[in-house]
Amino acid sequence: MDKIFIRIVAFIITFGLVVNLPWWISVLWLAGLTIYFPLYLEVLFFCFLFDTLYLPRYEFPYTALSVAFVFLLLVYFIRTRIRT
Amino acid sequence: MNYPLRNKPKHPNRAPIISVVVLFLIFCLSGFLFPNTLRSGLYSLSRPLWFLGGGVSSSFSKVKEFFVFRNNLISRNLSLEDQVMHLELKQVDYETLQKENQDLKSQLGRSDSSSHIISRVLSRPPQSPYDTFVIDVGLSDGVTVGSKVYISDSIIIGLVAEVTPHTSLVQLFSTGNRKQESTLLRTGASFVLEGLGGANFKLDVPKDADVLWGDVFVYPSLSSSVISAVYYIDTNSQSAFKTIYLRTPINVFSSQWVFVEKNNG
Repeated sequence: MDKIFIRIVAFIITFGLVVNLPWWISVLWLAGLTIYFPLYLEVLFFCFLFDTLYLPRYEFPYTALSVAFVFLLLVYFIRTRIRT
Repeated sequence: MNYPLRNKPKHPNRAPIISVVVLFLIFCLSGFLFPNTLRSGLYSLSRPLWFLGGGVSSSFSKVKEFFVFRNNLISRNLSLEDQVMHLELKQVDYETLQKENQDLKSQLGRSDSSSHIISRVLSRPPQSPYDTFVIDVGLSDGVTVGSKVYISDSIIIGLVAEVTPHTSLVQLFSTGNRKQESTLLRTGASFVLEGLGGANFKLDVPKDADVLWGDVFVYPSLSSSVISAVYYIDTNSQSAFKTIYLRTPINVFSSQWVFVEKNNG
């Protein structure tokens, strides 16, 4: 329950930060959360938010979303390799 | 003869990977299927946060002004008064020339009838990683895709790229690798400027090309609007070309307001 609550609070704070902070700070913040939480799926939403708010056209591959996808899988693989 | 393995290899749990891939595909598909609905929804969600963030940052930026010495304030005040007087004189000249310009155009049967609406900038670089602005006017205010966006009466910065009922996304001419046709005001020659991001441009021309420091490039239209001015020319003795670096003559990223050409049709 606590973990879910922490993730919800982190989601709300991150939404505010992503919208208002310079993009490179937001990227560092998101990278930190992705490493801290096990499988931080919310990062896909936040990078999709970046693309939706600021990218002039929806053209595949969406830049931020694709980077987040690769980074999330990379962190997951490294995490599982370290633990086993 | 086959012997069964004593320790069966563990099957890795594929569920997390599948969930990441599925979510990624859902976002991609929703972007394709409902681009405008998503944009409108997310702009509506972000709008109050942008206003809140803008208010907080502007109140924090004033804090340092409380700690300025009185002498500094007096000298700054005097220099600003001088500047205001100088600008007022220039304003009179400008208005006279503008009137003369409009009269000449109307005598030649051309008139610039476009009207501009003022718009608040909701988000700009460095919040946006793609050299784009989000502004608070949209379809309901007469803005359409391709409307010109100005930062002052005569400085154009970009075009509206996406529009929702109450918000628009402005793509700057300086967006990285974007090509923009422009005219050199002094000679009338046409060039294609390449965006470098952050209100900067680059232009590669033959060494003999007549481009000088401080030259102004304008948007090719009936009423000339400044896109950028030359601030550095890189000439290499080994090359037959010279690289010209240009930037918008005003700090685009500190402005709270922009002017958008309204579609009267």
